[in-house]
Amino acid sequence: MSNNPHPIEKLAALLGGSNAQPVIIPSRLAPSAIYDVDYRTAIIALVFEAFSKPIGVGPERRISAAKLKLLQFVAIRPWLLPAIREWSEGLAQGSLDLIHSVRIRRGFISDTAHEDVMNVLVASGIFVRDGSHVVTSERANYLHEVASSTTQNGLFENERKMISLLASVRITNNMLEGW
Amino acid sequence: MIYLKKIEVRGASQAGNFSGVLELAPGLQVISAQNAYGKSLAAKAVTWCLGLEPIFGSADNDSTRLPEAVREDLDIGGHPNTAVLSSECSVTFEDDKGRTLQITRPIKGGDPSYIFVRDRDPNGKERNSKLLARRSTMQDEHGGFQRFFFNWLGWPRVDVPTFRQGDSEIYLENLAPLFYIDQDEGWTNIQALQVSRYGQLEISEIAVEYLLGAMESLNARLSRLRASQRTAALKEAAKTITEQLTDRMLTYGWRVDWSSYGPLSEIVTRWSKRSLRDALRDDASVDLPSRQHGLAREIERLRKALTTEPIDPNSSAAPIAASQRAINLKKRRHELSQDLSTFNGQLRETSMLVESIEYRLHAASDLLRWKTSGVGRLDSLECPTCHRDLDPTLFGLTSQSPESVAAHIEALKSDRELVLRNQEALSASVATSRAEIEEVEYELRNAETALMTVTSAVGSVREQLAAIASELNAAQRTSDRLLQADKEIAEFQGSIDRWIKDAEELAIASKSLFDQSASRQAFVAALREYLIALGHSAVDRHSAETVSIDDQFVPFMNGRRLRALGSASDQSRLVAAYSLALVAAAQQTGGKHPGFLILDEPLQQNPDESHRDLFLTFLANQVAQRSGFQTLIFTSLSNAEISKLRKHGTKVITPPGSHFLQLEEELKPSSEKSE
Repeated sequence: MSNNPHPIEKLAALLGGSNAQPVIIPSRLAPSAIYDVDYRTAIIALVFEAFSKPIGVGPERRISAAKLKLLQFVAIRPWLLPAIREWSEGLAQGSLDLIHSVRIRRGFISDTAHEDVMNVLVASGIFVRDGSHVVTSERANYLHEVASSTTQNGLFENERKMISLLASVRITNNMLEGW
Repeated sequence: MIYLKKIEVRGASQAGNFSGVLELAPGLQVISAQNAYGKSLAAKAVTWCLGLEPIFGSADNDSTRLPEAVREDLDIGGHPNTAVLSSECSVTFEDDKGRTLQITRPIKGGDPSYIFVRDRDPNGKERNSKLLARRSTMQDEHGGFQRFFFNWLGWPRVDVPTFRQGDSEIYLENLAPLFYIDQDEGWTNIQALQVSRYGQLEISEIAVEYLLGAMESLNARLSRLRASQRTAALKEAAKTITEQLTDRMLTYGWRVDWSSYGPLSEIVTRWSKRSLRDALRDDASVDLPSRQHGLAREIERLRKALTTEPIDPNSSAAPIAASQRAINLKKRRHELSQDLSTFNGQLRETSMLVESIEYRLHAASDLLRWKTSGVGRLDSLECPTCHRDLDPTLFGLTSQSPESVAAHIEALKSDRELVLRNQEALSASVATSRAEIEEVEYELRNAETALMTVTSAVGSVREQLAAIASELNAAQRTSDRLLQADKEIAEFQGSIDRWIKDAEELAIASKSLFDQSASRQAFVAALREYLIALGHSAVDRHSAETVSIDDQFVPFMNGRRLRALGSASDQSRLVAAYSLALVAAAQQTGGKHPGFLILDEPLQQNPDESHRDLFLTFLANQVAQRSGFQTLIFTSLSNAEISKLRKHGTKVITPPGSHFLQLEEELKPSSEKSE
């Protein structure tokens, strides 16, 4: 991946051969915070802290990888909360799930950042994959530190509020199937 | 200027009557006694007599900041834990004309809400008064203590604007933090005990200017504060006018570009450039006089047609025209409803977009804070096997720099501005569409009434007459509406003109320049001198020239706040230098400073020896001793230190006994034992 030139570099090379005089506005080149590894790690840590369950009596905790992905996805997109709530309630009524789940699922198709962050966290020994679940590894304390530190310092208040609202939404196995 | 001549505390206990007296003189005096002697009781007695309990955060008439020895029980004359039955304290001031003022206030066993004052003129003529310590202390012309005290000192009363929009006077407790430095809290910062809960704007700066006697500068500051309050009020008024005007015009279906954005000067320019009628003509294509003129001619024509013009008995056009008009209006209403539906949909989407941008902005701001403060972040993630740092780019991720996140925040803010403007324009479109629908519905009701009248008429002549009568009726009603609109526009224009006049007057009043008075310069010069004399580690003879004060009277040196320079122990030196410089400058320039300064325990602020040595050197040197004002330093010195200071001519008072308060039968005149 790092061997590929940055799109801006590509554009610069193309423009270099012409008489064009490009005007670069740095703020427009800056990527969204949503793709930043620190931001996504913090959100994963907050979601994991809120929704993971302990395994036996040890310090390890685990969560369904699909549930983690779904919850963190909604945590940073609050406007999806009504949709996921309707989806969850629609499932209970039987036939409405298809309408609502599509609204949520279509976002996952292009959102690969979560999987990339999970790969980093697995590679750095924070998570271990266990079938359809992710389990904390020997550096499990890292996530707890991130979650407690952001809470103590009043950071990501909106996201934490969303996570607490998500606690009232029942995430069923049906919702986690198929992706 | 005045000086403190005597401090006296007295009372009755189960062991007998007790008292403590401290006789003082003008100039520098060090009152030295062992710890727990009661020095702070003497110092705090001054604040109690002056009704200054608000500087300690206490409620009015609450004496709990005074030591227990005058409130509950005390160890006295070999009687431990002796209950105090009653107590009070007095201070006596003398001014340079020979007038004296004794102020007495009960602590226990009396009513602390009253202060007893004995005022004696140079001829020995006495006047006794019982005054209110706190309630209406400044407002009560005959019974308020502060009103009396300000009068006695010849101090002017000054109203200061507050953030609650009203005014509040300068009280003694606003000035006292500059001449009473408390042992517990006074040394933490300049004016650490300033009372902010009255809400007076820039009260710290105003207190300094008042004591310096820089009244022109103070008045300029007050004018500026009032101007900024007035500016805020005018901005609010402009917003109200705009909202009411826009809403009202929209009810007629007219959209006018009349905004209250930007600073006052821009609004004045914009609103003065064209009248409301011009704006209506340019923005909404509404030329009221021309419309009224056209309508008047139409009414005249219809009247003639109804009364004198011949009627064609064979024409059947009237019901067809009435029917067609109703059909056209229904079609128009349908089109407008569709537009409204589209605008509402766009507005909903835009509102969601604003919400989403706000959320992303908040997330990015938190991320920036996280990245810059580093709280809770690990600097790097490493591979548990090879212990090499893991590069996020290997995983297709970016670890953004704080600069990149900051740039993204700027982009989001810019987007937010654009979307908010779009939202505003859509809201206006929704309002216009609603107004147009209402207008069309009004016309449709008229048209349907006309159609009903025409179709119920018998014969073509009656049909035509009914159609003309309906048209005349509708035209008359429209004319009435236009007249009403014209009247409202005239009223709005009147409000706009009055607003412009007020804003222009304010702009002229705000142009008064801030006075850089001589007292300010005297203050800076004195501050430099005292900082050097007190041994501030960041200030010496060469660097002192760079010491300055800003508009808020905050001391700076080389562009940095002096508070941030030097060592931790320099903080107390800065506070001492500041308060000393203030009284020195006020004395030089004829300011309003009372002329005495109380420094309670300056040596306890730092236990290290060099701090102590520096302060003692200051007390022994010329700068401290030559002052013409009274400086009272309450502290604890060793015998060697007392001898050293006395050798250099510094007056040191060592009150007798093991405690300031003594049983009266044991008490001997303090003058015999002091010095």
